[in-house]
Amino acid sequence: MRRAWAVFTAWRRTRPFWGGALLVLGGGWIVRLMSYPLLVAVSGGWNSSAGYIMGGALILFGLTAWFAPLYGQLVGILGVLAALAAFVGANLGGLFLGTLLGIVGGSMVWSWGEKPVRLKGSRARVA
Amino acid sequence: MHGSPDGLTGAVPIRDRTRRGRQRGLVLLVLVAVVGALLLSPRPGRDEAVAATQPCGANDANRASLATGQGVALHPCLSKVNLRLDIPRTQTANVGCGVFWLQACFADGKWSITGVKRSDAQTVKFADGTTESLYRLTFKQFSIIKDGSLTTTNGTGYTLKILPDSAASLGGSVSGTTIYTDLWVTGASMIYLNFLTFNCTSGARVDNGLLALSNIIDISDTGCGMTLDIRYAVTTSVGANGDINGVYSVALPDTTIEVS
Amino acid sequence: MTGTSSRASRRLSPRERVSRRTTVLRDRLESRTDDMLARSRSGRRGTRVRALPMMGTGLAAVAAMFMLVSQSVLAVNFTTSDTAYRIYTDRVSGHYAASYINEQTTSSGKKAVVQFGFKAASLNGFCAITQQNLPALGTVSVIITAGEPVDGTTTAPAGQTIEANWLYLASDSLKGNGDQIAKMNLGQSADTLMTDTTAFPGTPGGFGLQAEVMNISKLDTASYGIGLDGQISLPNLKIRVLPGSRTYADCVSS
Repeated sequence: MRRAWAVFTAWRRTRPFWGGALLVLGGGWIVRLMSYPLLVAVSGGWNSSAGYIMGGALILFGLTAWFAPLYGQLVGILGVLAALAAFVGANLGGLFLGTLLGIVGGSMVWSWGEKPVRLKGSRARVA
Repeated sequence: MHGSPDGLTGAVPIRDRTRRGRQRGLVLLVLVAVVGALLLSPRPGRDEAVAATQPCGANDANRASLATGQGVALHPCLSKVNLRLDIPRTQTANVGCGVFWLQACFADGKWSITGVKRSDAQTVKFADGTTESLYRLTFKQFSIIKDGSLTTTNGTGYTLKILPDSAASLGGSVSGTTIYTDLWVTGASMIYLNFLTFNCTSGARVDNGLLALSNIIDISDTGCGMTLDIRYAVTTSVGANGDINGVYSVALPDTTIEVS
Repeated sequence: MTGTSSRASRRLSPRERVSRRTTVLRDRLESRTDDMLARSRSGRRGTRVRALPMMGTGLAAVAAMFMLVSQSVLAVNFTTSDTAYRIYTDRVSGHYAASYINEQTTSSGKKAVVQFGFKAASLNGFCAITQQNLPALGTVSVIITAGEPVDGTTTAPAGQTIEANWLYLASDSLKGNGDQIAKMNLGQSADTLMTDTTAFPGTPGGFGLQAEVMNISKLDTASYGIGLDGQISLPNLKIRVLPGSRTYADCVSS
């Protein structure tokens, strides 16, 4: 059990966990506010796929930040852009809250990296 | 250690390269999915190539050919749902009105018109191919003064109610232009008014032959009640093709629309 | 020797093949986990301070977009169903309107609604109130206002008219003054309804209403779906979140 927790903590530390989590939350909120039965979204009539695409993209970017931390910078910028696009395309960005979470999460993912070691001297480069 | 690059040569060990490759694959996959969804999603805007008019039955076979009282030709596709215009009579006294003052009195002034014409029975075709014999009533400057309600009945299980609160005009005259309301109603619809041989107690059925008199006389009158089963209603003004130029023919003040 | 080679050349039974494969996978997983543990200990990682300028830029961009929407320069899309919005407007002037009844699937079952479609609509004042149940905060009302203040009188200050194209509304009750409705017909089969030259098909055989001009003032409607196939400009846009349930009186911020 302790080993499982240690593994989880290590997993958390080796990737932008909280940034990705915020991106997923932002995307989920946007999708929730579209509040559409999913089947209706893809069939004709009322067109709401833009909101699902923006919200879905934010969720995917959040998950990508978790599983591909080496590309954090790219994913972070894309996350912020998607959150901005959601403001125009998805019910004012989930009434603003989704866009806000996306911007904060995306910025955190973008800036994730090695912090300078406290000791003077060598700085380990990110692998 | 496996993970960190060799400080001297800077070479990245094999395990890192596969990690990077795997992650690059994931990022590419996600990007392709998002861009693909954006490009392939149905564009906003109903710009699907739709015919300018929808076919009514196979090859437009079930489209009705109607003409309004003013001679405007229409070809609508009619639904069989009935719209009931109900202006109930309010009884004010039990006796004291009518020919020998023996009939009940009803409040007058529930609706008003400045003219009415009734056509002969016409056979009208509906969208599902069935036909019905209807009468066309053309009202000139029709106003519902109080207690009117429009309800759809026998529709797809749901009813729509339009309840105007005060004087609603379906064709009331605005700025001098006369507006006509054409209603295609069933023969069993009733109109209650005091006129000639008609009275508020028994009223006049629309298919009553005497109503044809109205074609000769331009009656301007108010009535005490009405129950019309309307299958199709149209408002037009006298103008080229029944065009309305800046004239508003229907006013439904303080109206509530409910669905149930 | 012979024993080894004979073992190597002996065909493995399926069970042995599976168990060998799982052993290989398990070893690979273990070594990757060990790698990860080692990496996590090899340095401190986290969100660096450089996040702040990025966040600041992002927020500034949103604020700029908000300003653009509010100056009617940028138009937004708004589509939702299953969230009840109470919409109030001082006046809506609609062109090429059509409507029919159908049922809308909401999370609380099917609801009978009137579907309205407007090819173009100008609104004097717009106020939409929706209530959301947030996990920790209880019921909050989100009030979106745009255009002139919705107080029952149409004042129409310059540049504050809201223009929307291809606006669709699904309501179960509507109250207003139908001031001017022109070229109306009632009773058309709902699947042949048109908003000008574009079809707005409803349930076949259902009751349809069509009008070329539909002006309604003091509109109050409970709407279960708003759809915009075009866009809407929202001058003077404000979004407020207030606790509890709010109604028409809160449309005008004091």
